[in-house]
Amino acid sequence: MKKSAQALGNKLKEKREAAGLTQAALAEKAGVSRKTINTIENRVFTPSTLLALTLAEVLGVSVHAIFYLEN
Amino acid sequence: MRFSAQSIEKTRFIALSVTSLSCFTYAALALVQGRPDPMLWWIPGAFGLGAAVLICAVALLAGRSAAQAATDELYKATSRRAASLAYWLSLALFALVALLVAFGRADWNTAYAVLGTMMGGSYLALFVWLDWRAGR
Repeated sequence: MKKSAQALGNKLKEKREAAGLTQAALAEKAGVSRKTINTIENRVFTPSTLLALTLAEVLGVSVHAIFYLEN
Repeated sequence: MRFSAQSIEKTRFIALSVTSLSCFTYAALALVQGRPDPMLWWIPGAFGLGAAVLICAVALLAGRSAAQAATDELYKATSRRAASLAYWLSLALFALVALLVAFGRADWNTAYAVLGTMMGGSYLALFVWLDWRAGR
């Protein structure tokens, strides 16, 4: 298996704003703190698969529409 | 007054900062004065218990969903990182305090007091620092 040096990028801010939600509103719907949403958007924190799926469900998009692998 | 997940986070941040500061103050005074009880021995513990009571009270007032949000996966990751760093820092403290004793800078009783308060305070301070850094 090829070793990967890829990082996880995301379009969470873009998708959140498209859904008309603030960080606080998205956080409340996803059951996490506003800081968690902020750190994911700023790529400080990588969410678990469970949280990534929850965020996608709340925003009504697929996980791939939010998260992607960066070279 | 309505409490939220952010209220819990802020309360936790302040309460743990004050508690770690009380631990470091105790350790510094013990070293400077060369005695294990530079102030009332139960003060750092009382700060710790007070912090726990305060955080729990705010969490109860904020409700279950806010409490769960305030202890989400970012909190758990921050706590784990602080604990792992505090482990290595504590090992370094053992060596440092042993040197102080070896060079006659502190007696064993003072060394235990310094070690005990610094080890507790280091985890709390690391958690507060990592929490602050994540939220910038």
